[in-house]
Amino acid sequence: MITIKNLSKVYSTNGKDVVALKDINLTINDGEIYGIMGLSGAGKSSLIRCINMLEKPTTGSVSINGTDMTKLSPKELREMRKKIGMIFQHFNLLMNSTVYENIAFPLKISKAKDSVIKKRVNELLKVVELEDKKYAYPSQLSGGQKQRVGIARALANNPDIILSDEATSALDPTTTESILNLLKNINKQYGITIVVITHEMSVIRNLCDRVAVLENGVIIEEGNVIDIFSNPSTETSKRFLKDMIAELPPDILIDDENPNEEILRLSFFGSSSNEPVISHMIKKFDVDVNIISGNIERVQNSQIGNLLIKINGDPSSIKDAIKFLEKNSLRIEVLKNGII
Amino acid sequence: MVSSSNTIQYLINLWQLLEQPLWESLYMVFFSTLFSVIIGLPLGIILVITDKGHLSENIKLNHILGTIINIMRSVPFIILIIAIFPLSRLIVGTTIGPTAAIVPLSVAAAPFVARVIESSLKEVDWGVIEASISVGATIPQIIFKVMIPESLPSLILGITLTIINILGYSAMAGAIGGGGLGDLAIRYGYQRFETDVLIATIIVLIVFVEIVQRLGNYLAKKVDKR
Repeated sequence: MITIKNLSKVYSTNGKDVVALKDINLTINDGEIYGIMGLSGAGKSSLIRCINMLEKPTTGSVSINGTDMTKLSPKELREMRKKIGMIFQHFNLLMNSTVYENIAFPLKISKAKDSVIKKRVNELLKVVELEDKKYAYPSQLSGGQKQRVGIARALANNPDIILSDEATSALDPTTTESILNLLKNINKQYGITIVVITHEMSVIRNLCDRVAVLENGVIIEEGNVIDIFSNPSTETSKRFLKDMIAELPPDILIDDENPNEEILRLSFFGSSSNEPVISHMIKKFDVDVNIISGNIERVQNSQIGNLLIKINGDPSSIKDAIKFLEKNSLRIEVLKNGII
Repeated sequence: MVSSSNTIQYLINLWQLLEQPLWESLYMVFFSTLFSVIIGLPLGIILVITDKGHLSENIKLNHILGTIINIMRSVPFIILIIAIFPLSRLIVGTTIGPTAAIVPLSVAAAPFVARVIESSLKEVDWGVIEASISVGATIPQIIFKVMIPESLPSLILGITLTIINILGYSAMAGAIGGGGLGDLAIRYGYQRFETDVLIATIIVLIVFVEIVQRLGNYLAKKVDKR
């Protein structure tokens, strides 16, 4: 378990203090995949680097399985780091070493025996499906293959935790998917806790169990991925979700003063997506419904649907209709003038 | 017209004149390079790792070392040789001859080597170093298993540059009793106006520089897998 308590990070450059992280509190459970999402400059990189002390927190503590990382001697810290693998956006491989040597590197650092190294590296090459590239150099590999080497290297010392620093941000969508699947399998198979930082929605959606949204060094939202996806409560999360949420086209403005018209954004997930709720509503109340747009997204193993509709009718019918929708476990937002 | 047997005799004489100084030059260059790298390599490493934000940040040490190196590099070589006579006498027992010349050559080239190695090691991507820290590597492990292997092509080219530089310096050392090809060129070519000896010396030097540079390029390319 990773417990981050009251963590702050301040950089001083030329006498100026820049606060990168402010009073961060997080608990990451064993075996989960935890996402930290934010725009660039939000402090994600600093936060993940504070977990393995690549950056020292200014105040606060980071505990891993009860060990306070901020209080370790350099030697103890090196030993702890061997149990925390890390993968990087730009892979950070040894360019003058072969794939084999790159994966063997952490084991050599740990002074493992040659026979042990050989066995382990061959195992890992199988896990990341790069057996045929054993003696290739990184420059001969594609981006996805390089990241696989990075993952194998991170796994070499049988870590409890893997930290992923924008590991798929330099990769194309197809390669990203295969890397995410690999990480998912590793998490399932070995029970390794994975902490992922990313600015990519799809990474959080396809990979993570829980997510924290970071903005200007502060966690503004935290929770299960499904909850945040179905009901983002902050502007930043909404902005992230923009590509998946049905947005109101700008040319469909509605007259705020007209009581006989209302635009709604409906979110439905889980069982409610199987019920013909809208159709029931039209039959039951004296309203007309015009569907503006809609979509369905898969998040982890659930579905989240979004629907933009315009309701016409007399004000009391509209009110009743909205109540009915709410009763049927749909999340509803009333939009005014095209603004959520 | 000179007969062919005379030409051969002439070339043999020229070679006999050149042979001894050539070996002296090679001897000076080899050991001066060796010692300057032995001194310069650790200095170059210290310059890099004590720099701001690096493995073992120590700005004060970095500035002091940098300043000393700059001062050493500012002293004209011919002055340095004379200034260093006492040190040469202390180490080799004399100030004359190729062995004595190795002392000032090594001292003069060491700060140069330090800078060459510094710039090579600085090319190593910080991300790779960060990745090494994250697997629990110690500072010596990072230096010898990551930074040096990663910058090997550049280091080889830097040392090639050093060898050729030392060859140039060794000619100057020759002028004040160091021996070698430089000494030969001055005594025969310059003072006795035997232009053919001067030209022969220069040709040998050109061939030497050419071989060293080509070999350096070849090796650097061979170890470069980037």
